[in-house]
Amino acid sequence: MNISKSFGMGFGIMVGLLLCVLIFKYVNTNHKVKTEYDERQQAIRGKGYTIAFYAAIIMEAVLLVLSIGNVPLFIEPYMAHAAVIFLSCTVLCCYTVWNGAYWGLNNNHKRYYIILAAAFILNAFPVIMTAVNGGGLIENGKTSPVCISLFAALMLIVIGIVMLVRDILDRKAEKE
Amino acid sequence: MKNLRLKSARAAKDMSQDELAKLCGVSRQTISAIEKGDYNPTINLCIAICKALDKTLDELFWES
Repeated sequence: MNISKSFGMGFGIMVGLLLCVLIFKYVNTNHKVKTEYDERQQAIRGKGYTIAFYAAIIMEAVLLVLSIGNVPLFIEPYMAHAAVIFLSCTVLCCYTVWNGAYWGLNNNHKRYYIILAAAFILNAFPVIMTAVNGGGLIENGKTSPVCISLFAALMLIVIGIVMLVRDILDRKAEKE
Repeated sequence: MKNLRLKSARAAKDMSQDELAKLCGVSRQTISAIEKGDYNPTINLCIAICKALDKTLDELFWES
């Protein structure tokens, strides 16, 4: 990836983060959007962050060893680091969802599903468009930048499936 | 160890886990975890549960 592309991507991420902060500030004027968790959920979330942290450290250590050994990767180095971020986020989300600590006490499950679906569509769109336009996910033997969207979409699918299974099991338990 | 006394006290009040959870300000999964013995609640939560079920701490949480 050349320097202008790197700057472009960095600038895009910064603008995205800034937009998120501004939207949150706009929506959270009455300070009601802040998610509340009970004591068990807080403990589970703490453990989830620890597990995700270790997952990230282990994967980064593996990448480090591979890079020291000059082992050729079929994905670009920046893509490998992005994959580590996505995987550790997936670990955190799946762990907290499975242990009933993802949704807070004041969260609307439906809204979360809608946000998840919207995020999935936004990430799947560039992948589908690339495929439709005849572009491949692999260029010159290496993964193209659109693979980041593919990783994100895969992460969202995994989280979505875990959420659905947990919801079904919770409903069954509630009836019992 | 399962907390069967909590479960029976809740059932005696004809209360669902969700209703008890709302009264205590916790999630339904937390009440379920306490009943199953998967989670040890803090004293504050024990008191909230006792107040919601009109029981004493000894009646619900003291192992005799």
